[in-house]
Amino acid sequence: MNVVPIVAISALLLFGIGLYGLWSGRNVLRWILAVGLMETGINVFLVLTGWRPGGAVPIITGAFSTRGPSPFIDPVPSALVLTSIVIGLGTTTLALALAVLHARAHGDLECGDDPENAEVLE
Amino acid sequence: MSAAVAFIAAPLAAAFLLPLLGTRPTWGTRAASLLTLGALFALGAWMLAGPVPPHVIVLGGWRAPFGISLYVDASSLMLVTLFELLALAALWFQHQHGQEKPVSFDVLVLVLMAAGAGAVLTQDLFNLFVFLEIATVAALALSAPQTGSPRGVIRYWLFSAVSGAAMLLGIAILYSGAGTLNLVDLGARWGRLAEPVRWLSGVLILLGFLVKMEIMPFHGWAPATYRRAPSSVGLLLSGVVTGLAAFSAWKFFALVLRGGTSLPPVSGVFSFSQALFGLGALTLILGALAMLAEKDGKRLLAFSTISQMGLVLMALALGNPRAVRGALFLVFSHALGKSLLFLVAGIAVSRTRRSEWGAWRGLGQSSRSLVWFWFLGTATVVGLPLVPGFWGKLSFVGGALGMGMWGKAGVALLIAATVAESVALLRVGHGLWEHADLRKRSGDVDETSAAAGAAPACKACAGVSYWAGALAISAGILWMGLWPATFTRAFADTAAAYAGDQPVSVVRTSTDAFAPRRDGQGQVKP
Amino acid sequence: MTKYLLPALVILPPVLGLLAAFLPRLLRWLLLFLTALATATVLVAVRPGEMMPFSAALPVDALGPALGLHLALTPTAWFFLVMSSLATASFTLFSLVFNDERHDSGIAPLYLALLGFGSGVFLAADWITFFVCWELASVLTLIIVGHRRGHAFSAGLWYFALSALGSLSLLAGAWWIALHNGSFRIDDSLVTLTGWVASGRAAAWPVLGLFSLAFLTKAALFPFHMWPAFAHAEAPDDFSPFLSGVLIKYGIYGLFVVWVPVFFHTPEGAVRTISGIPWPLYILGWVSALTAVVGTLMAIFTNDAKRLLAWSTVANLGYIGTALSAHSVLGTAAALFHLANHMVFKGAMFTTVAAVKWRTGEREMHRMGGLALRMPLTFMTFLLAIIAAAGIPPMSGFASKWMIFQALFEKQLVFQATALFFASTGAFLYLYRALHSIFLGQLSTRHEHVREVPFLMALPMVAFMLALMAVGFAPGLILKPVNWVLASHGLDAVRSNWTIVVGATAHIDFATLFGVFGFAAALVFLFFVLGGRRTKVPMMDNYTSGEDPADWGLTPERYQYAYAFYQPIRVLFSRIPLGATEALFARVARALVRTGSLVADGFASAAFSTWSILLGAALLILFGVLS
Repeated sequence: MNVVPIVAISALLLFGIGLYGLWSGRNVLRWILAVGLMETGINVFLVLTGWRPGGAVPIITGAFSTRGPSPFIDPVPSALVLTSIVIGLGTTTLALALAVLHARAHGDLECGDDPENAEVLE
Repeated sequence: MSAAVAFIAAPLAAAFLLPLLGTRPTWGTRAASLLTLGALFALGAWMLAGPVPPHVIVLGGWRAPFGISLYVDASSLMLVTLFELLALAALWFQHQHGQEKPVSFDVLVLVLMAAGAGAVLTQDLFNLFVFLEIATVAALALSAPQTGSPRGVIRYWLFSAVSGAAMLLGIAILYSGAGTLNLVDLGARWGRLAEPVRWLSGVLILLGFLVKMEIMPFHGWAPATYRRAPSSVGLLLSGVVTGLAAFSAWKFFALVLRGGTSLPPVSGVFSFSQALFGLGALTLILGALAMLAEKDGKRLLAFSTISQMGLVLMALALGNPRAVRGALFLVFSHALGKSLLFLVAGIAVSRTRRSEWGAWRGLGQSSRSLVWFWFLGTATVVGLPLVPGFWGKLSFVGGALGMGMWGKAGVALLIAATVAESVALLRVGHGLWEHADLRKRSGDVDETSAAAGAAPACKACAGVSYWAGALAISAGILWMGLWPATFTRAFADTAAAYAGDQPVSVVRTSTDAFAPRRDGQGQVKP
Repeated sequence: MTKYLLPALVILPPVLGLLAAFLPRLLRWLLLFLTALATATVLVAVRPGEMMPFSAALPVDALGPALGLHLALTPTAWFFLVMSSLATASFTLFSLVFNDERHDSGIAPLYLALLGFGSGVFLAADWITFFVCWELASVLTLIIVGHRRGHAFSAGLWYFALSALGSLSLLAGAWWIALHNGSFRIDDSLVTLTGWVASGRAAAWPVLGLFSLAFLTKAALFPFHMWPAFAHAEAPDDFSPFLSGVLIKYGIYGLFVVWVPVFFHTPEGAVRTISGIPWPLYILGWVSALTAVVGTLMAIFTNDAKRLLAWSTVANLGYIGTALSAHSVLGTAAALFHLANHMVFKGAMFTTVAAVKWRTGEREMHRMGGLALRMPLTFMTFLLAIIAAAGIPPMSGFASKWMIFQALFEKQLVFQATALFFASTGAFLYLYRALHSIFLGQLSTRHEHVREVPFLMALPMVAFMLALMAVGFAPGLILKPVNWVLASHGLDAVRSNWTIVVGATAHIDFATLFGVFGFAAALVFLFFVLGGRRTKVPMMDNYTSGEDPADWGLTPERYQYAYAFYQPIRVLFSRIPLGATEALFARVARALVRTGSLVADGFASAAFSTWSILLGAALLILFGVLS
């Protein structure tokens, strides 16, 4: 069974759902979830770019030939995905903290215009 | 291993060690962060004092393109040193004049510095992306207001998250086509990539740069963020974050798109240049017009940054040597000038508790330096003669006029925008200067303003940090304005090296292991 | 030693200005005066051609064309420099006394720097030096004019915005040429530009337009004629003479330097001509004539002495431009001659008005009157200056205006000559009005104790009077150097000796003329002295139809003829939209601000922020389609 189309379509779906979530409302939490979905979609796509039919996990356990097609999947995208997930974790945490700030300042999570004529402290 | 690695490693190490001294800010934590930045600035200045031969630092023993390499030359070192100077000024200013912040504030500034140096030096696309993201996260956390509405920052997060996702997608697409992430290597293969891969990845990656450079229509986050953020963070945002975004965008243009970014388009090679030039021109003129109407001082500075970055993008899109040199000059001059303006704005805001510049009227009567520094900053940003912005604009005009109708239209817009911008900034400067007693007579006074009358707490009087920062930045402005030769030479060398014009370019040889004798020039190393 | 004279003229005054910032008030102004005096002395002593050009390269080689500080003392530059530095020396002597404890404007350091950059504009041999000096002079003027009050600042900002627009255009024009010939040097670029015009290359016209925009805005020619009324009027009183006498001439200098080589040295037929004049010059002629008319009308209607003089300056620049546009030796010479005269008589007028304000604190003309008896020397200076300004013999202004008309007749430019006649007649009206309102008529009771200005302040006034009479007696004093300038541009000389000038249709012996008028004046004075008894009547000793002014509720403060002096003429011209250009500029500015606020609010709104993501996606698709 060829998994490539299934994975690709699900990646695209995740990305699309995220994109829709972005401008279907102004709720901060909805935005955070939407961005998370988009990032997941991209991560899935990244993994896909390194995949090759019949490729093994790129951990050298025994002898292998450097001639001919590589027996491993490309390890670089996997490394990129790891980094990307870590960054995603960081920004999501930060965004949640901002959402808390927003709720404290406005009492809700509907992110409208910046209020005018407010005191600015520094 | 060169000492330049310290610009990335040292602030990171300091950032991780700093919380060990405690989470409450003490003089120890403050001194530690300031000393780190000061030492890095001194290191940069010391390295620049001697000749800086361009060299490649191979990290972890992995040769490019397999490993990550850093490219160090005079201009990148200058930019990093400038970042350290600005961070030093901003952090010290925050300690003395701002609200009290936890130690994490210092930590974040250090992280921003590490990311900034990394983004400027690295030669790896994904590495560049990571550094940009780290810089953004740090800037986001820094600009979140302690009290008041965080809506601007939330929008900043939204924009940068989406553009970051887009950039990552672009990098994935590019990698799937080219099979490498090294910028030089990507440039060598760019012409052979399939058309959809080229435009899709190009647009997605550029989106990331455009958001961080605050180019219209992706600038929506900037005014509100600048308004709510502490002035010291405004300084960092406009001096460091946009500066590093502009520099890394140029690196992407010059190394990867190679020729694809210069007007007019080379047939057969996808050209982003018209679109980028158009966006830059739009940003330049609309940003300047917005400044004319803006009542809020910090939003005014935000729009000024937006407008300047539009000009930088125009210059980058033109892509010819003069225009690129102009763009680099503008990045430097904008960082210097805008920092000076933010220092003045910081004092003004901490004295009046208002960010509307109408409320700042008469502040300069008690401390004249506010007016002088504001004026010098204005001169630098708008490019009056004998300050750095002038050399940037001079170079840009020469570069643009040689590029047909597009360039000539750009010069016309530049003239209009410069006039509008100088009017807007000079108005604020004159407001600072005006006599307090005349304020009452003219009807447009904000009665709530606490301008001259309010007895300032010591947080509000112009302290040592303000003076030291402003004087150091002024010295930089004067040096760059009166003796631009040092900078022009460095910029020209860098531009030539990136374009691969020189017989043996160090940037090129860094990947010779991968593609030996491709152009018959590089020296093959075993 | 002489090698460094030229850079010293440019660089030393700003350095001294920096020094002056740390000096006490009196020393600052003294330093300013001594610098101006030294500059004038040096420039009168040297002759163009004696000084070697100076050049110091700035190692910014990577920019393409070589940059550096290039200075040269061409005859044209020498002429402008000598005239302006002599005038400036007088103005600064006036300022030295004017800026006492109570009136100190504190601008001496900036004024000093301005002297240096002003000399730099004339001495510059490459466009970048020219631009740097030009722009810095504008900035300094902005600070000097606008550093006080909100209103003055907007006046300075008007000036600066127009000036920046012009100077950046100039920079673009200079680059345009430098991209072709690789040089920023003024002489090189003019050779190239002349070649382009001669060979009919299309790029010549936009380049010439870019240069001219800078000069026309600075010279306040239509439609940029409104800024002097703001800037000259709002400037510190003792600075207005410099602003109006010297600074505004930079524009004419630029126009002269660029246009004379381009239009006198292109072969016949290269440029389309209208009635024998190249079309750009023909347009300039009409623009200048219009400027003269508009300036005159505005001067007639204003009630503020300094605004009146500012509008008069606009009108006089119109004369100069018209003379220049006649495209003849006589016209060019007349332009230079009138320019030098205008420096003196407008300097004298602004100086006297400043002196009056210094003593009385008044600027509105209807609040003054009868000051001739209290300030006789100031009155005499103003009288001689307005005689010159109105072009009445035997003062200097007559000679130059006569030459302008001769030049116009020579080319049969009847309509422009008519416009100038109209403007000249108007000049009588507003100048007499100023004289009458300030110095003649009844002395206001508030000004009973006004005294004449002190000796040092009177000294420049005496110098102006002597200059006005000397040039009126012997126009050759100015025409000789003018002929050197013409010769350096390869033009014939105006036929003249010390006192006789030969025009197109006639020649005049100005010495005889001076004698006739002097004799007549002496005769009148004699009758005046010998004439019958005179009674001095106080202002309120007056009646109309048997009523006392007090019966109408008039007090000495309110009893004035001078308010709305020319109301009938104003009614006559009420249909002419004189303020139209000003209103247009204001409307453009408002539209720009409105667009700006739309951008500032609309694009940054929450509603837009998600839309811009959509916009980004659309952009992406657009890119795909385009590629």
